[in-house]
Amino acid sequence: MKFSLRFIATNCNRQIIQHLHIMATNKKTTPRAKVSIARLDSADAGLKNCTVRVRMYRHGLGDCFLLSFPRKKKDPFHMLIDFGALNRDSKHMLQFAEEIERATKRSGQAKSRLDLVVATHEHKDHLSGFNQAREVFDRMDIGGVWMGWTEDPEDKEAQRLSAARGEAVSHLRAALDTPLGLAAAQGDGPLANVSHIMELSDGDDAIGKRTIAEALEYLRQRGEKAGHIKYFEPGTGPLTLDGVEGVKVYVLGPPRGDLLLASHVTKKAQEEEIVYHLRHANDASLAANRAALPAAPGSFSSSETDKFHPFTREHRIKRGEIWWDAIESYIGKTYDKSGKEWRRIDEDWLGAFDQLALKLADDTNNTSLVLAFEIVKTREVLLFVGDAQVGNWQSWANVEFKLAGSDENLSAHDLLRRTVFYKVGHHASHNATLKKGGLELMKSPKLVAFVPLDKATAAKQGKKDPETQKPRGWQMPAKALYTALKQCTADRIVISDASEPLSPAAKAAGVRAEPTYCEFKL
Amino acid sequence: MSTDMSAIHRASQPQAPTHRLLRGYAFDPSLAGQLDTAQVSEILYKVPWEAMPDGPRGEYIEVVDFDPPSGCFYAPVNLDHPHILAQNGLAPSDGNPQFHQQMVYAVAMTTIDRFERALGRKAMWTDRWSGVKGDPDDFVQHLRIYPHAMRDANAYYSRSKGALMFGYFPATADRNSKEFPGGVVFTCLSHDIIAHETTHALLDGFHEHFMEPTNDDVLAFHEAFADIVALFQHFTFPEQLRHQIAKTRGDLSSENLLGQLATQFGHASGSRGALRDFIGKYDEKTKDWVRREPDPTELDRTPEVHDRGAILVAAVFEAFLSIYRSRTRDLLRLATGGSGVLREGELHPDLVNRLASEASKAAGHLLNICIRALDYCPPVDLTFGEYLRALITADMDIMPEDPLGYRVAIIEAFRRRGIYPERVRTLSEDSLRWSHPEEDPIRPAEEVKETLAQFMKSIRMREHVDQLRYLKTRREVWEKMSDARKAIHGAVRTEIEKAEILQHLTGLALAEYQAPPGVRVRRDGVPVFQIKAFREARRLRDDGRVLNQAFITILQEEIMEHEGEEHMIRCGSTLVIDLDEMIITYVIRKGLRDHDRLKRTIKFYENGQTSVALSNTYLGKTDEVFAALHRH
Repeated sequence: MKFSLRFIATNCNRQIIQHLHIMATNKKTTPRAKVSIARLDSADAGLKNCTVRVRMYRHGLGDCFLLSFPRKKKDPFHMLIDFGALNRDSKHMLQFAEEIERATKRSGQAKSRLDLVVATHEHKDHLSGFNQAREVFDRMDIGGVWMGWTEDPEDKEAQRLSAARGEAVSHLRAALDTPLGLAAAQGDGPLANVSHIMELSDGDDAIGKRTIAEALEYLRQRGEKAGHIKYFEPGTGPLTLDGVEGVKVYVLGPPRGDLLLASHVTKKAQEEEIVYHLRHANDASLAANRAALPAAPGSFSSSETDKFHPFTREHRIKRGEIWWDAIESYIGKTYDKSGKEWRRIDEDWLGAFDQLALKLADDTNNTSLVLAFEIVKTREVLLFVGDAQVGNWQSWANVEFKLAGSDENLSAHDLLRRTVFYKVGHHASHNATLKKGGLELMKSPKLVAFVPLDKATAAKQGKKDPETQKPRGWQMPAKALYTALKQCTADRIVISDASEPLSPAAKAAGVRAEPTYCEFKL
Repeated sequence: MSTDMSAIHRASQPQAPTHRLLRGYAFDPSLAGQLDTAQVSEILYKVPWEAMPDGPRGEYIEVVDFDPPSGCFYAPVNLDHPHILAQNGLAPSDGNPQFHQQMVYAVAMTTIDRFERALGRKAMWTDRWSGVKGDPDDFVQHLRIYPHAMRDANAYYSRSKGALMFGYFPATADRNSKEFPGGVVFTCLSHDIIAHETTHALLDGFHEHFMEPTNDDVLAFHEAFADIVALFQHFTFPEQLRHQIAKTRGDLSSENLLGQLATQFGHASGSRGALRDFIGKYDEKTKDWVRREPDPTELDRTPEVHDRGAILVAAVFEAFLSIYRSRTRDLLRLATGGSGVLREGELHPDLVNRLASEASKAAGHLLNICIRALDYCPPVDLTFGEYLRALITADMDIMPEDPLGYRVAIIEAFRRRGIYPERVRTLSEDSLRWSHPEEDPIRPAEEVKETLAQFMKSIRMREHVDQLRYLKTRREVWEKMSDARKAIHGAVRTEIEKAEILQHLTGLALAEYQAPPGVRVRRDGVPVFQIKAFREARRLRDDGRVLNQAFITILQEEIMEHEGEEHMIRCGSTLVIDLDEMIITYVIRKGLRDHDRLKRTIKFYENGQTSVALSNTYLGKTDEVFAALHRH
């Protein structure tokens, strides 16, 4: 990349830039485009003269991709990769499910059919729709289901991973079950971030109590019923799709082995093969922190919480209780002194929960099933990475595929080099697209990037700013990554946000934008 | 003559003590539980005397023992209580919170005292930025210490709270570890952790921008420096030093406690050895301790802050070991009848004493050099190589001769680890020493010198320094320093000729209407710059002369764009001034428009964006730099 520097005009100082940032985040959000359902177009119309058609639905902050492959003398092969969104009700999701249903209609058959459903990982913004619009999927045919090995109930490592995750979730739930959790749900207080991150795996608003784990379970059952459920290892492939000619599928992730699932690989994790990188000491700390939560109902009896206290009872002096007057004057001079509020630490310890919630989200993102589709004739590749984080990306450096009739293996990086369509990971947050060993390899002059992202929803996430009382928002798209993507794709970058206009470059590359989806054919 | 009842009979009054003795753990509580180290697990810390009815709360620190997860306070200890005074403080005990307060106070004060003795002036904490210029509340009198701030295997310095936060946590349930499984481990009882965190706070008070990562070295230096101070303080523990010298038979490059940090923490959080060991490490396969061999390419492969910092610490420690060896060679010859080869068995206690005293001296010297070098660092964007230059320059000023080869030892140890500065021709003392102000290409040198002398007179340099020297309290010093900074700023701003000279020296834009794009300019045409620090030092040179110096740091920002992103780049210069000669001895500069540096910095920012955790997306940027860094 050429390194060009430009000095900014003198009046452009930091304050102004900061101000601009604030303006940008506070900008009135454009109202969501009304979902107007286009009349049913014959399912395979427009599928002629292409090998694959990718549709990115514009349903909100979440992923939903329909890949359709034309087949000879047969209905096209339809593959749905994820269907989920944050902050969307079931009515909204039902409309989109029905649209998918219409798009997968078969000639002369009553039922629509998804030949394959891919669930990349267990997060709401990827799977909520399978709860919210369950009735639509119930009446559709599903030919098979693909997931990563991390979702395989029989897999030992997956079991350990899920047990560790379960424990973390239980700690976080306990934290959110306290009075602090109520405020957090409103974006206030020290646990606001925890609440927002936990929503990724929580039940969704309209259907009520169904969790995202249940959405995954539903797909598992559908897969079993159809007799086609696959839990993939990295390095699997090339696979073919039933009746589809000239397309090969490769599995790049999630990585096997504990190291790369972890976002921060510790030496100890290597030594002791800890899948989940919470250390023992840290686990115990979390139990201690959990015991300290205010009025944690029923989770620990008082004798249990007592064991987490560092000192015996006679040392503890509570505000306003016995012996308080003995220390009141010193505390008045120091901790309670007015004007020195900035030095207080009442809520800082709760940061441990923030960290745990982050690790959990991070690790779940890293379990993403990563697929590459190769068009044999042109050798062009479509890359779908789910929400893979750094660790998942890094692991591809060592992923290879055995090719029949060839001594040389095909490397995952070779597929990256030939990528012409990239589904941007994790809604274009900064750490879900690796630069080195990632984007830097995607050198194709044709590269097109699709970003499933609803900016208005992203801006509503996160902790409230104490001054403005507005949520700080999630940094999506990350500015630097967005700039880099724009450059790599020469502006052929498409955001699913319904209020986002299509760039002329994307249009010229053949991307079509409808109110409900963006479409690209190869 | 009537006697005033309140008058005091002076002759019978005791003198105020200079020091207070306080008992504490030498390293941490884990030593007390092992037979071979139990006898040396405790130490008497000797801290400067200050009267304190409760707290401890003195001139520098206040301990506030609030435990938020437990929802309670622990009563503040009164170190002036006669019972406590009579027995050198409370006895070490992990079950007594008052002892914990005493321990953090003792170690933090020892560290501050060590720092002040090396620099010869009072230590300051980083100012609080209240948002109002010149707010007297910006002065931070006390560093606050919370000994039980959280339930986590973590301890950190928080600038935004002006506080040290210590956590406690249950030890690993692994029964193979040396700790009692599940027992509570207190980070506030570890000398190394307290000294380390206090040093973070001291360094931040000294160089505020060393917490801003602008290259791989900046934060790593913060960690390394904190470790260096903690490590060399081990050599001020007389009994522990003798014990370890006896145990290693004088060979301090074999495994010993002195070269390790945070033993208990390491074991309790589940690793085999101490948290950090700068001499060797446990081989993961053989489980044997092996000496670390320096590797000149290691630095290139080690971006992680602590690991990178450890390379710098190892370099300084190796320099110490070579100095120790050369200082004790004669002793060993004397003790062995000239052969220099020790016989089997234990060392003679006299020899142990003499070796210990040499080790302690060498460690003290080296620590002094390391601390004084801070005066010779650029105010922003420090690299390890530049720190090496600062070390060498600082030492050459104080010790023009180097009879014991300290500087050679330092240079060699750094070279063996691939730590070199950029833009020097050779690794000799002379090329490493910061250069003297450049000759002005247009005006004759004499004229420049004359103008500079004039300039220094007009900003009343000597007057400012004189006034600083006789102030008692730190608040007075702080106020005087900010006055001096304002005066210097005014002098540069209003006198264009002086500004031009300074501009030329520092590579910053200081004169009106001469600022390049990217630099903010005030309405009157003068570029925005900041006199960040004004410090003085009076140090005794080796040859008996007194070195009177002043240090001024000037800061400026430039804004630039790369690939659609705007970046703020800090620039700055440190001026080293000889007050006797009234000359500027060195200009340590990080000027504007340094293309290589800009490129490197922006690359660093851009790469950093992919390597940080998810927290930036979900939580936004945090101002607690060390909170996440120190989490274990």
